[in-house]
Amino acid sequence: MARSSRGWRVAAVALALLAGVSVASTGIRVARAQAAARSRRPALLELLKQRTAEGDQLRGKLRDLRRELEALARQEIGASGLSGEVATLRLAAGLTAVEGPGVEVVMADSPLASRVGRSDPRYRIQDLDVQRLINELWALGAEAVAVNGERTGALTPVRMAGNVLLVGVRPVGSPYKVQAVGDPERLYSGLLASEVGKDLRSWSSLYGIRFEVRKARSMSLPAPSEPSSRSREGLEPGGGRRSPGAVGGGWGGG
Amino acid sequence: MSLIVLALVVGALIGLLVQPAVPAALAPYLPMAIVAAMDALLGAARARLEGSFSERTFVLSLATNAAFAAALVWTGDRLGIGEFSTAVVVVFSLRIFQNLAAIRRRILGG
Repeated sequence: MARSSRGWRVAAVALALLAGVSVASTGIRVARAQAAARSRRPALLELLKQRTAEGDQLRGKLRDLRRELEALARQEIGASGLSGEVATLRLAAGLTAVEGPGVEVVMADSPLASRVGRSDPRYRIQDLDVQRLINELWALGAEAVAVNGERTGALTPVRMAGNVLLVGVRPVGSPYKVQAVGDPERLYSGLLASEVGKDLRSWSSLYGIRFEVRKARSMSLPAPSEPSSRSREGLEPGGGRRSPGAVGGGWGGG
Repeated sequence: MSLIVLALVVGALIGLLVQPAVPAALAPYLPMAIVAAMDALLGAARARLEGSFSERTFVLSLATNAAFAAALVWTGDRLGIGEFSTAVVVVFSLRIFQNLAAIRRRILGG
């Protein structure tokens, strides 16, 4: 029925030939790529295992060396008869794990934050809020402060990087739990009466951010994940205001 | 029609033996062209069974479908819409099944 001319027939045959070649070459290409991927896999797995083992080994070595260093330091300190003072200074410098009563502050972004968009800072906890809160806690005589389990000291920067709060080098997210070891009564009432406490409470009712303060009978804050203090002056163990972090210039300096 | 099938088989054999190098720039779009070609071939088989096969239609449908399928995917990649390849595969797969069903009805009558 179709009156096909000779030209169309030649073209059809040529196209079919081309289609055949295409299918074959594509098939070969895919098969080769798959074979290459398969052959690479064992080597990559081996490499992964090797590197993981290396990492474990190095971690173990680091732990051993730290322990050795600590033992040596203790030996040295013991010989010099300064161990009591060193222990006090280490505590004051925020280098040791701390346990005791205190207050716990929970702050969180408003549930409305996702609705009003990322850019509106009023509905989100900002680095400045956390900084002010921590400084207030130091000023009220807190002995140790941690944000989401990460200890802060005089040189620990607390800042926003994009939408994430960085405490030192560790990213933490909302809700933020700020724990402070110290006199619970003094910290609690002082914080609620402070400027930052008032601000956070009013923002809590205006924008729906969460701000809760409660006393805690016992908390244990870990030692800082990395020693941040480089030098320190004017520390007087037993003195009135020896709050290691209550310094304006400390933030962002580390 | 049988000549076309023969040409396809011969082409595949040539491809297997010669193993021509496909240009790397073309490689991602060739599979799309092949899917389009499969559709055209099945369409041709169906037309043949229905007695309306014409080499002219076959050549034009194969060439345009393959070219447009590849071009669409290429455009999608330029625009950052990788899903165009999925769209092409879905559409041609549908047509392939329709053609297959028509052929089956013709041959098996069911």
